[in-house]
Amino acid sequence: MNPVPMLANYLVVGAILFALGAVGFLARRNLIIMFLSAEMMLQGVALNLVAFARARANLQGQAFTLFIITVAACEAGIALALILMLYRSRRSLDVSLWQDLREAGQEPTVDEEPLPLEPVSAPLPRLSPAGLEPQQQEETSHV
Amino acid sequence: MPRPLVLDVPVSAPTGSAWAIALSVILGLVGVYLLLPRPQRYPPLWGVAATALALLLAGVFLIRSSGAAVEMVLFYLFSAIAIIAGGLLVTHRNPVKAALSFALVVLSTCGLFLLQAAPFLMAATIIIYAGAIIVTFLFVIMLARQSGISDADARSREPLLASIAGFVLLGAILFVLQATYNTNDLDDLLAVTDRALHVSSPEAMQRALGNKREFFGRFRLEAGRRTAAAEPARSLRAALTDLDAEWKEQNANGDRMRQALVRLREAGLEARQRQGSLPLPVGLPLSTYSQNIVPGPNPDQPRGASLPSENVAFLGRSLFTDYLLAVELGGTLLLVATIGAIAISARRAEGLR
Repeated sequence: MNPVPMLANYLVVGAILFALGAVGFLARRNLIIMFLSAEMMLQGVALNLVAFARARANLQGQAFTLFIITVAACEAGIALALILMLYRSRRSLDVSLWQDLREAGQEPTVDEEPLPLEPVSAPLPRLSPAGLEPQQQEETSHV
Repeated sequence: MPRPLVLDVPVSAPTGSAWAIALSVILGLVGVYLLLPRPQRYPPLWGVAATALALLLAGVFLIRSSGAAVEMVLFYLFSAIAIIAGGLLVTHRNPVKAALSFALVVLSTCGLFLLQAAPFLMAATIIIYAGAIIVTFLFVIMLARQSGISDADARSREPLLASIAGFVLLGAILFVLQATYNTNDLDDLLAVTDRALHVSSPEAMQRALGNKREFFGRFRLEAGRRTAAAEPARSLRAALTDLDAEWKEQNANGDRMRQALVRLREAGLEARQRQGSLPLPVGLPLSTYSQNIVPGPNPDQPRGASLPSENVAFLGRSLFTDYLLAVELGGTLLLVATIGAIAISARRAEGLR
């Protein structure tokens, strides 16, 4: 079967993965999720290259994808080390805590909406401490 | 006897019209915007409905299936899982579940790699990303385990602008793909030509071709679109000129008109087959380690060629001949990144700077 027909389908899927990753990287504030979104963008690009390799019968696309995986592995190592360091200094994964690094003249973003309150769960049942004899009422009937 | 126009080269393209693309991109934008985490959430049903509708539209209008049933089923399965899990990764509040859905994205992308004749890449991606995902998981459990809803997970930065940026990019890519790989007009013209080839008298042929000016105009437009591939466009124009000469002739000869039509059809099929591909550079020596390993029936045309079945062996041959320097540099890059990661994350005693 001719491989060319499927090419455009795979390009569409790769483009969708890339765009979703871009949205995630721009919108989310958790450092780890931003990192995962960037990895997803790389997956979309790798899919494009592999599809072109099949359509043009040319292994260069697959070789290129292997280099993408190499660079992604390097990026993962460095990014996780950086995330660990950032977490150590602010005790949070929120990237907005680092907004004093912004450009001069930019307004800071302020979170106005309050976070929703945690749903209060019913208190756990208490057991009497182990090893103590439970208090009992004095026996009233004597035989 | 003319070959019947079976689409022996079924170039299936994102044939959707511009409206289908725009509608699905806008629905996806609205859905992802509604689903992005924020303190006061919209009802998740709306976002899920909009996203599902966008996916359905994209699947029906942007993906054209070709003959092979099993491959199409697997393609739909893997790409649906990849896209849905990608949406979950972007929109889920719980980072543990987001990391799990990233694992799903990687696994289904590996399935797509396998469908595209890249088994080595599938294995390498699974092995490497499995390690990466486990480490990320450890990080999530170690760092993001504070009880309750945190600022990092329950808020988004500029959700509207971010989704507009991402989906405008997606729409632009889809429009370019549609303009590059769409063959609806040419298919239509080829079908008309084929109908004309099934009748015998020249008058009936001319009637079957319909309005002469319209027919020629549409074919010339198709030839003009193929500026990137000069050769098919030139043969298409030459065939049109021949047909024009036959048409003008009084008491036209049926056989010669038929020959001109056959030439036109061949040129059209050729143009259709090379749709969306740039011509290879002429006279440039190309390495035979990465391409033309299994030559097709026509050695001049790379289109008939296919990838070798021994993927690992030939990928290794390509890596260690054409890309030897790049492989060495990749190894060095990994070493440098390891050293860098250790240097960044190691706890240093205060006095030792």
